[in-house]
Amino acid sequence: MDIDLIFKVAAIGIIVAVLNQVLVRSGREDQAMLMTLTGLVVVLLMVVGVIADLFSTVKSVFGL
Amino acid sequence: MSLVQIIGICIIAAAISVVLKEQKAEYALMVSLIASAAILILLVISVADKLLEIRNAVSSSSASFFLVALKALGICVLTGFVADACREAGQVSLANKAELAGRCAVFILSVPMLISLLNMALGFIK
Repeated sequence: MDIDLIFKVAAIGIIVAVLNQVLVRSGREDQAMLMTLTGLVVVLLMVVGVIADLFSTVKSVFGL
Repeated sequence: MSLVQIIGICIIAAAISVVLKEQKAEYALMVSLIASAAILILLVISVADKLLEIRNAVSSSSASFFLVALKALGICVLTGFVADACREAGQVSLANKAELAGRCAVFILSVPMLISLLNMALGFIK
C-alpha cells in the first residue's frame, strides 16, 4: 500500500530536477528555486503522512 | 508480508535513491525515509497479532514486567528508525541524540520495576 508512494516521490524528484534545469537554462533562477521548494514541501507532506501511520501502528501494537 | 516482498522494496528504494542522489540529494533521502517507514509498518503489522496474543495472555497474569518489556521494545523500534533516518541524512549527532532520548524513555519506563526489585532485595536482607 505504501509502495506506490516510493515511486511517486521518485517521479516528483525527477520532474523537479528536469524542470529545475529547464528554468535555470531559460534564465528564471528564482522561479526554479521556488519550484524546487514547492516540490520538497509536497514530498515532505507525503513522508510525514507515512511516518504518522508508522507511529500510530507501533503505538497501538506495543501499547505505548 | 513475505520476506521476498520486503527485500524487493529495499532493492528498488536503494536503486531509486542512488538515481536521485547526485541530482537532488533531498529527494533521495525522502525516498529512503518512505521506504524504511513502509517496511517497518509492514513488519509491525505482520507481528501485531502474535504480540496481541502475548499481551492478552500476560496482562491477565501478574507478570506486568513483560508489558514494560514490550513497551521498551516499541520505543527501541521507533528510536532505531529515527536514528537511522538521521544517519542516512548525514546528521550523526542528531542520530545520537535520538538514541539518547530512547534510552531515557526506556529508563523512565523501568524505574518502578527497579524500585520493586530493591524492596524485594531489602526484604530478604532484613
